[in-house]
Amino acid sequence: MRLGLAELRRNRGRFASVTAALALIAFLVLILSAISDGLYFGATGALRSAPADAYAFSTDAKGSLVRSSLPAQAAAQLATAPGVRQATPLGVLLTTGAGPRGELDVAVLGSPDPRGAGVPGKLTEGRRPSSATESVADSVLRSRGVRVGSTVTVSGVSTQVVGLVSDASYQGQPTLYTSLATWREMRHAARPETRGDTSSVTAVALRLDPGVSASSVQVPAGVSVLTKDETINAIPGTAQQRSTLNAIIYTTLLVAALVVGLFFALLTLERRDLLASLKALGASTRLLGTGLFLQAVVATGVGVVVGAALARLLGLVIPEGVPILFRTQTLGVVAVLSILSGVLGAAFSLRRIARIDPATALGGTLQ
Amino acid sequence: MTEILTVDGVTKVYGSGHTAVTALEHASLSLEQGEFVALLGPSGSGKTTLLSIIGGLLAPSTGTVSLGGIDVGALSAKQQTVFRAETVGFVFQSANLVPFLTARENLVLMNTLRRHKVPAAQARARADQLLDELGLADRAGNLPEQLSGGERQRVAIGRSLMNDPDLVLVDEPTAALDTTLGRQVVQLLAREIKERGKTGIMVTHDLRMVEYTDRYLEILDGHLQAATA
Repeated sequence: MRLGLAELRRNRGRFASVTAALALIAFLVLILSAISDGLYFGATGALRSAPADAYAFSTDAKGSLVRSSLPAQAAAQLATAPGVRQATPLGVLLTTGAGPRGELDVAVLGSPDPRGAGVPGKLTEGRRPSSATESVADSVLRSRGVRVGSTVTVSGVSTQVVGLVSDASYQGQPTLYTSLATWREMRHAARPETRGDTSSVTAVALRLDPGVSASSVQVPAGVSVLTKDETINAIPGTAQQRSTLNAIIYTTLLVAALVVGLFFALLTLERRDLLASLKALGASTRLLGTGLFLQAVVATGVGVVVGAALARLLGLVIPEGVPILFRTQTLGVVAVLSILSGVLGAAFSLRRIARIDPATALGGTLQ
Repeated sequence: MTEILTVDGVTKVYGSGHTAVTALEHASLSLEQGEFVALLGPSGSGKTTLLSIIGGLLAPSTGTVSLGGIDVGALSAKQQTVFRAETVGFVFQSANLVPFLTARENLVLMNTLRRHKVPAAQARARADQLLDELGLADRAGNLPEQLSGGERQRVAIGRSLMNDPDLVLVDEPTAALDTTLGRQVVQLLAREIKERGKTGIMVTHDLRMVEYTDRYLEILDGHLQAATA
């Protein structure tokens, strides 16, 4: 018979309060994590899903795809640089287009090769473009009525969607993978000031030979190469967003530790006489401490399960378009961190239990 | 009769220097197997200190305590814990039962504290037998809050005997009970100790409880004086 578990079972009401508090905290943390993941994945999908190892930018762009511009010649030079296995020029245009159900925000990503380093390797539906007027779209666009066979128009330039890919948004805008020619047409139509520029591209996606590092690639003057991770972190606001949300999440977990800590501190205080007499009867601090940790783990574990269920329920009613993403991996991390917080909180009471003198069980206060 | 407990020249001093308080001075006593002895004295006389030292809850400042051949004073804190679980039974002033365990579970719990546990079914059977002898057969499944004060103290007596201890130490068992109930409890306690051939020491300041014991010792200002009932 485990003392700690018996107490949990018989005194459910008493533990319900702390479990409920932990469930709400877990719910909050999971929603925050889902927003963090949603924002992060929405901002970086197009880069993460692509098979590129590194990206080449104009140096003055400081890693921003939106600011970068490379002459065609630089792109050609990169393709033959030692250590580079594949170099795919990319054209990027964040704009607004029109789909079957009207206006939609898109990130147009043009490349000359539909199997190039800048385009996700796996389609979820349809096929790859076989002509310059065909394109592949982020499956997020399905919510705006875009299907295989739909036509998307940007400033009068049309492209036919022949395939869909998942997790391919860039800065919160679903990506439309077009040919380089279509991208240029769209760019010229949407940004008249660029009409004079008929050869430059935005950046070049690179696949490197095994063992070659991004910094060792020989680049033309004015060009810098960033690894995929560096490129992702250079997306404006992404790193800041993530660290801000993480700070809130960790603070909330600290609150969880405090809640558990206070609960068990009070419980230990209230049980002082009982714990002293149990020790007098021969219960070791270890046995009592194990019970305490078991209770903390069970209470936090149940709290996480309830909190996760609540978060999922909320996820069902959150309107489409809110960047929220529930990932099993994140749930796992949150669950582990929550339980660790619980154990940490309970650890404060362990010292208190250890210090209870069994000799105080005798004599008592009754005379 | 074999001598089971020997207390030899035990002194206990709390604190040191100017603030030192001598709670017990050169106390010696010996108990034979099967004896049930009362330890009488007013509050602050040192009787609780003596009981704590014999039970392995406090280390003596000087002197030795030997119980069943074990030098109690020489045990480490860990060994003391094991010693208390296996060799000594305690009955406290207020029963101090685990509130979320039934009467039977409170007894069975003692088995889980031992190093050499008996099988669960056997522990359960022993708990039921003890509760039956204490007139609590139909209360075995009740939680302490559903029991009266006298019943709770009887469960505590059962608990003290659960691990078949060499010595039962009883601390003012009637403090929380009225006179009639207190007598019943002590009577029951004496009977259990006698029938099982156990040795027991009961701390009390109630002279009327002495009639259930073989003899009594008086303690006053830390000095132990033997007296025969």
